[in-house]
Amino acid sequence: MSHIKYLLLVSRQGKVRLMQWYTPLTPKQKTKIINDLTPLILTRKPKMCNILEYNDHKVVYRRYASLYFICGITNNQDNELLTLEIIHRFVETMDTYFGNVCELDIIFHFDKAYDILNELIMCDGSMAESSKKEILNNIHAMDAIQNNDHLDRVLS
Amino acid sequence: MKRDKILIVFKNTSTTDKASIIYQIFGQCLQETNFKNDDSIVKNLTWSTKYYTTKFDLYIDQCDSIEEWTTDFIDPMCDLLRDALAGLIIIGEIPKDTSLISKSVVDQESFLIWCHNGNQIELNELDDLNLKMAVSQSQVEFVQLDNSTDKNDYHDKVGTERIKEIIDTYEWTHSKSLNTPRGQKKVLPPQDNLESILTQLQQAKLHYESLDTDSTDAEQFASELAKEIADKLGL
Repeated sequence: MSHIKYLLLVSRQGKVRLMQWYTPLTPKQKTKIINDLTPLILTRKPKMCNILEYNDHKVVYRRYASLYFICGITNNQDNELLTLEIIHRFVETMDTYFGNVCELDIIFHFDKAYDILNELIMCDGSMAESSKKEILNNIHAMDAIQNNDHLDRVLS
Repeated sequence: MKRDKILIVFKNTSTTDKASIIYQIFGQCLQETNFKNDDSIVKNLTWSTKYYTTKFDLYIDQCDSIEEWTTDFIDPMCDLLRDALAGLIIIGEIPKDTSLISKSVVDQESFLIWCHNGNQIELNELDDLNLKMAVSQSQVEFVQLDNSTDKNDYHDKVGTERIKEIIDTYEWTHSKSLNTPRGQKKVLPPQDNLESILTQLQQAKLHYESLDTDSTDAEQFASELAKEIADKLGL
């Protein structure tokens, strides 16, 4: 069972593009984590390990083009390799939805990126759905409902 | 203040090379203008992505020494210009001591791209320099101009493609949204009457989203469309 503490998406310029917290933290603690982890991970060499220890927990990260996906995980409860797979599944799902996802897609459709993440990981940090197909079906259903709402409004 | 200017500075570059670099980066914007190789200001260019378009002015400058040029540029006399800049692009060799690049060259709301057009630098070395800059919260990004590839080992865009990506992801204050549909949906061409109505509805929906929904224009548009569709359906 995975219990991710948080997931951050940081660009290689150090800008936070997405963040999702699965454990209650104060704004100060959240800022500290972001300020500590961003330089720590950006300065790591490509051949360095993707898992590192930070304070009382471990951090797993993976780089996709100019974006770093960073996950805080619970010691002795989460599997580091499984977390890497979850990150990869998140990226794959966004890639299928947007069609070759890029930073611009996430900036302009951050709501969709969050929707995909929420379908994948539950609010307690455990995995909700592992099937990419299922996640995409749900997201497309959400889009259809939203589109119908707009259509009703236009036609009303 | 509206940040709608990009300043590009060349160090000892011939007019032909200058124009070639400008075309590499801003080629898509210059097609509709009468840009001449020795122009120093090109106004009202349009930068387009799949999500937005924005108007900007391109300022072109030349210098013999980047150090002297930046000293002049950070002078309070240039405050007005710096406040209007979305970004600064410097074309010249990257200095050996990058710590000398002052953070005050551009502020946090602008980007600074330093394009190296001298001897080839290893991509790893360039990556290390950029990481150092990102960690120091500096807005500078180093890019190698003469790259044979568009992407490095991590599928990062490099060279002019990276410059375009930085301009794409810049937070333009006055951009115009294009209402691109989410996901990979495509509007199909009409094949019969029902499909043409559906296409019209889809287009109407996109147009309606671009209007201020509380305005009388939006209300009028919605009512006219509803009437037109009802007529077509024979209601």
